[in-house]
Amino acid sequence: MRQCSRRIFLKRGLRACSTSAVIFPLSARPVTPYYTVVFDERFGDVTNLFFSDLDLRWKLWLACLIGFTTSASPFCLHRLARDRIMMRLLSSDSSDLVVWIIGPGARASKKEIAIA
Amino acid sequence: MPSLPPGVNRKDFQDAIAQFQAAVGKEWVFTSDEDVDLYRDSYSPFWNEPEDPVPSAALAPDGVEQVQQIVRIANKYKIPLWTVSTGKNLAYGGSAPRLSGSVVLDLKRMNRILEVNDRNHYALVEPGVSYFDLYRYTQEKGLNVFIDAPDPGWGSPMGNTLDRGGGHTPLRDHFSTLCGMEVVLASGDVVRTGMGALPNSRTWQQYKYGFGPYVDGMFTQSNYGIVTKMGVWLYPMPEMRFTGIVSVPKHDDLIPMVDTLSYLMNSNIVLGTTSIASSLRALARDPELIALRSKAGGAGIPELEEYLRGKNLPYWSIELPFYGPTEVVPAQWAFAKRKFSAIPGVQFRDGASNKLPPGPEDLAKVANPVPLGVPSLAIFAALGTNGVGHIDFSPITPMTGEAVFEMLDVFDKVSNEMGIDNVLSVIAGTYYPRSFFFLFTFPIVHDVERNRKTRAAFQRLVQVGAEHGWGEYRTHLAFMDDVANAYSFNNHALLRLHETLKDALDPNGILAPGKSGIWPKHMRKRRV
Repeated sequence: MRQCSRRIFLKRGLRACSTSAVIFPLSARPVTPYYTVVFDERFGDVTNLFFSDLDLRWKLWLACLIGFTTSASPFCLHRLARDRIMMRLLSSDSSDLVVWIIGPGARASKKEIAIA
Repeated sequence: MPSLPPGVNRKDFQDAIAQFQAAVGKEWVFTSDEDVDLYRDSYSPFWNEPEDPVPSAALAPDGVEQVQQIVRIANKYKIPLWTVSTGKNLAYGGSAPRLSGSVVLDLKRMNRILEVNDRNHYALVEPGVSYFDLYRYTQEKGLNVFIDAPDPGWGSPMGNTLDRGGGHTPLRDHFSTLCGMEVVLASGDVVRTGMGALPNSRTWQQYKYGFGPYVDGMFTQSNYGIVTKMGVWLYPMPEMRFTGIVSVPKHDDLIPMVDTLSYLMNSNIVLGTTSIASSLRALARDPELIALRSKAGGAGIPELEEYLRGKNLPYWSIELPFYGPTEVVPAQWAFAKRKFSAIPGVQFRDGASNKLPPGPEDLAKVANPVPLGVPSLAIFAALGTNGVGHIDFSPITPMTGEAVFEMLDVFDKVSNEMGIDNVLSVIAGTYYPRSFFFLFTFPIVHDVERNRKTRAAFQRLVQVGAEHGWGEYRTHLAFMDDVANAYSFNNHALLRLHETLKDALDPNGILAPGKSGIWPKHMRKRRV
């Protein structure tokens, strides 16, 4: 896999943050403010994140996720999110990382995410 | 727009969708490409090929009455339904249907835990209850029960039990834990099995058999009904788990080693899943071993034994799991050591010891908490991002050392013939009582040619396995016909019985056509 340069990482990371702006107009429900940032150097175990946090929030229809990761990394989170509220995973290709959203009722297209 | 169900015209399909919407609510009927794509198999061996099964729509009912309405509508329009509970089942097809154009009946909204009893140790659950849900419920209520989750543990007790999956602990054979079902038949009728057939029954989850023919097995790995409630037996919380490691120095030591293992497992002394570890397989890429095997005539067993002795490694080893009271487990391990001591040169080592239930500090120390009764996704982190997914060839063999030798020998020959490399991930696992389970894990990638070769290798293994009397316990959608056809005694008498039942219970063939190789009459191909 091609290495991601520092410039690309920062650029895409900023884009991931700004992507949150897309969620509000696309979701019928209010969006909670940022409450946590998860950083993982490698493809990690999401069990604790899911069981101790996200699962409880998703039962209340809260908590969007915005990620900037390898394409494989959100696989488990996306699958788990679907069990609760039929969320969408939307991604935007970069060099070797993707920006993605998991959110209730998110209906943004790839084009809309790219614009964000 | 997604494809239509086979044999259904667009107007009828649209009419059916409108009636499904009336039954379950518009927001729970999914027809857009974006929605329907979510139900495709993430690990499909048909990636980017026309055979990749795609649903036509998905429905998510909230209760048994809605399921009844759905099957009545499906019967009216002859629309095939493919039922999933939480829809994981990765490596076996995920939530994708066997037949493209089927409507996925997604039961994840039916996620009520109806009862957990920690005096008699059982649960009554709906299809959408996951192992995580059940674990959280028992934790929050402080119940004295121990959950056997498969690995990964994000699926449902119902889905895994209906597919006859396996776990790690004393109740690892999940079908054996099943106690009472509620089933919606293709007609829309609702049946309760076992003691559940008795109105006001007090023992639906405590006595399996009821009266008359025992039919629960008919609704596992099958397409005869939609299970909407299920009882599962749980284990009383044991005081501890301990593992003891047994190693033997010689190739032929495997025969008495397995005989002793069989004695201990069938006596309910060793109580969990384990498997045989081969030092040679672990060292397959060692240049010294490669050189030894590459010489003219290959390496003889005495040379391999000498090679391992030089590295101070055993030929075979096995990690025995024990669950039980703190006074009993050490005695069980002492007894096991006495039995294995008949093998010259055997060595013993204490493995992990865990108090149960594990606390947060205990869990932080283990790589995978599933054998401690805690559902987990850690296995995904262990597998990493190598490849896109996998499918598993998983034959059942006798629990003998001779059978292990034969399987490894046959597998090595097929591997060389087919160019398969390093896919044997479990040797002689004990997921099920009285037999061994092997697991050959084939990577699935976004490469059509490579996936075609994988499918060919898989089909060859099914064929070779059948020639040796080894059948698969469960398989991916793509190989259900192959595996069903391998169970061919007396001109496929079992499959013919399955088809007779299918025709009687589901004459329009609306329930999961093709599941386990069972097709409705109008879709049945002529058998050669």
